[in-house]
Amino acid sequence: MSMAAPGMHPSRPDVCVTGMGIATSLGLGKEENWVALAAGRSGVRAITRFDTRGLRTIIGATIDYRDLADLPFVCRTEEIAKMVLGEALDQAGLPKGDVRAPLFVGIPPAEMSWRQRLALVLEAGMRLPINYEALIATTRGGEYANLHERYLLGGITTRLAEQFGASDAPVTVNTACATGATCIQLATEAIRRCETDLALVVAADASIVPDTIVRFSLLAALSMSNDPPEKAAKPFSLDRDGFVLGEGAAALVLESDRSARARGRLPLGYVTGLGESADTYHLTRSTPDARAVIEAMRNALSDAAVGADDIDYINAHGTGTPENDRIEYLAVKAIFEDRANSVPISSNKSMIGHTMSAAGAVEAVVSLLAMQHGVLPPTINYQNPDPDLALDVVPNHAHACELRHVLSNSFGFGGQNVCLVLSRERPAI
Amino acid sequence: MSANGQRDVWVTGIGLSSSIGDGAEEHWTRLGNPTTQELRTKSRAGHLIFPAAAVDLARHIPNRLDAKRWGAVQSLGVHAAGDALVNAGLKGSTELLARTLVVVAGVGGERDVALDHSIFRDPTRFENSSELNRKIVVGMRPSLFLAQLPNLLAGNISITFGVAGGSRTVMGEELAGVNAILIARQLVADRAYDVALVGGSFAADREDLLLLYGFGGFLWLGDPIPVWSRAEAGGGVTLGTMSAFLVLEGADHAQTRNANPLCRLVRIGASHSRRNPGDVTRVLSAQWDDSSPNGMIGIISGASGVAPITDEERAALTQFASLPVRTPGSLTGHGMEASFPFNVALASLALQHGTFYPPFPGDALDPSPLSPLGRVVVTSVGHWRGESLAILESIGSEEKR
Repeated sequence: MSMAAPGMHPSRPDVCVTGMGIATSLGLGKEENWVALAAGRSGVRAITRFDTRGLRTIIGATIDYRDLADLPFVCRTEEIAKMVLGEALDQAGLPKGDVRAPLFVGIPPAEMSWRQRLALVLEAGMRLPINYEALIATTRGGEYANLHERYLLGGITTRLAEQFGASDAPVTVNTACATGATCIQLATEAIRRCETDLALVVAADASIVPDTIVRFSLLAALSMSNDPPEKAAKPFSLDRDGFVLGEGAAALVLESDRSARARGRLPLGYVTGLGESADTYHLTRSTPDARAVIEAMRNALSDAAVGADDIDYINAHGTGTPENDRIEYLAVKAIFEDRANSVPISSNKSMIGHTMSAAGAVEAVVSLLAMQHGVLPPTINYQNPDPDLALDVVPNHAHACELRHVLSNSFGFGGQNVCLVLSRERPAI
Repeated sequence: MSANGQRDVWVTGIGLSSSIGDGAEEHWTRLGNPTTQELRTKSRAGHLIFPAAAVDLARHIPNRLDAKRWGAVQSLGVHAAGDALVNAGLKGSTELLARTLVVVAGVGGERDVALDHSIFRDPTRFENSSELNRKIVVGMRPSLFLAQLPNLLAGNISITFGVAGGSRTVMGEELAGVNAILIARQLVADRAYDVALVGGSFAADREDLLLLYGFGGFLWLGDPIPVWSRAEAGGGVTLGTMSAFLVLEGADHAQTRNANPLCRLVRIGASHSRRNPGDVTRVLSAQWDDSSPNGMIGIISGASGVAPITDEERAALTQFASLPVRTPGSLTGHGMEASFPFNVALASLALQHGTFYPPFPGDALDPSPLSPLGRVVVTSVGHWRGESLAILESIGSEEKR
């Protein structure tokens, strides 16, 4: 246990959420997304933005609206990040040009995909032999300066910081599938330390390109249940065969409770618990006894000063890979004991796919929306339950439920685990 | 003890590698003999870079296949992290490492250049998407993907040494190195963690990175002359392979376990300007602090050689005070994400020894010797964005106990 024990910071500010924005394959904005999630709709479809011949997985929860489909993935990611951050700032009643708050940005590593490298070779009009040396000699004259800014790992973050007027040096985060949750963690910590009253989080990932599909296919992580696409993502099912890549973004305005009240804003919910751990077992697999995941969940509960009995709903990491869902089940069983098969736990990924770098933030926003509406979003495609995972996965249909505390899980590929406790009310003093 | 109930943060271990050596001791020895200093460069894709020195990876990575699979960034990073833990007396301290934080300035990883080239060579054929798909499905190795993910250096550190408390990876060129140390320092000062292992790793012999920095016109095309001398010819960076990790520890915790600290990490200032003329001076002077040092002050500049900001930094530094400056980038090349951790590690080493290392030709703005050394300011003006500095100072012997 490395996190500070509860009560150690009696004077630390409570951190609330005063603005949220979200974009997924189901649509843009809180309204569209919540309606679709509560209806159990799937955003997974056959990929049409590029030729999928030769690939084993040809489906994804892609974002194709607003002419985003044909952009390089880095630009698509940047555009949806701007959209959700704008939505969150609007809701929080903050300016979109000079917000003067620290900014934490979760994104995939920027890079040129193979298609863009090839396009560059063709555009540069090069003669054979074409290799990096020749390509660099042809492109280093300044004519391609925009590509430098576009493909820097800190490029998107810099442009967001400059457009929205963030204070200080913006922070770019990548802890794989836990990225969005790590951003929320960093922002919450900054407010708790009284370094700022306000912090912005945005996490976005729109990197469905052939390169990404090939990479995850090589690790046997993706579902190959291509037909019909909307049935492919089936977390906690016996026949689950991997996750479906998704695109998405979410933003949160985090604020000290005192600052929100002073500005006359109504908190949408509170970030009350942060828990983390790193797995030391294997680069792509969790410790078989789920020890590291249990530790992260336990740390989050302890940081929030709540017990497992206080958690009304778990927003699962729930990728739908055979391994993840089994580990997550073991952890829930270890922590929730007698309640393990009755505490509702559902996976948004059954509908919106795995939004990777964005997932932690997207699922935090969905958790807060669930709390606001008093409705549990379902795990869809739950036709063939895995008898070894005796859980209430909110099968197939949403239902009403009063929520006080939600546990949101994110387990990064590479061993970074982050769990958040989100609460409707300000913590009792 | 400082304001807000935060505690002092000490550097209790460092590990580093670069073109000039493997480990702290080799670096100190080579830096101490400037006249015998020879620039070790090699050519990559038509550009000179500073390659890694011979490094004994077996010290922390017993399986040679692991190092090969991980690629240079991850294996040099794990290596420096291991050295830092040994230096702090923590390698093998299972219980403590299980509640230690790791923070990494991550980079996008390796590419399969042969595969890229085989696609470049036949561009019209691979314009056909299904041909391209089939090519990469067959050509790509799973281990390459793992070497490409920025967060997997942290993953490998956790696995190799059992560092399990928490794990954060930040990205974004030079600023990633600054933010990594800033985040680790804050969490230790705030008592969220007693110990944090923080650093970064950078491989200069990457064609795809030369392409990226080349797009922006940031590459220095000539011989690697000192960074301060490049402005007239347009400026530019020479990339250098390097890795550096630091163990940051709460002072009270270090005292309790009788650790031998190198120095105190007083403060990190991280800023971001739009690089209008004068911005670099304005931002650095806002962070500048030479009040009440307990000894003489030296500066380690992270200047990259890029024009005009390198000249602007030089003007700013000479304007603040006439202080001895060292510029490792002239000797080791510029290590992007890893450069700030590397320079903070060098500053820690100098404070541990109580003296600045001597200047080498063209390196120092002010070559005066400096001993006893009480404080070091480390600057980082990123090649495109980010203006930051760290302040470190020596620890009195009565404090160490």
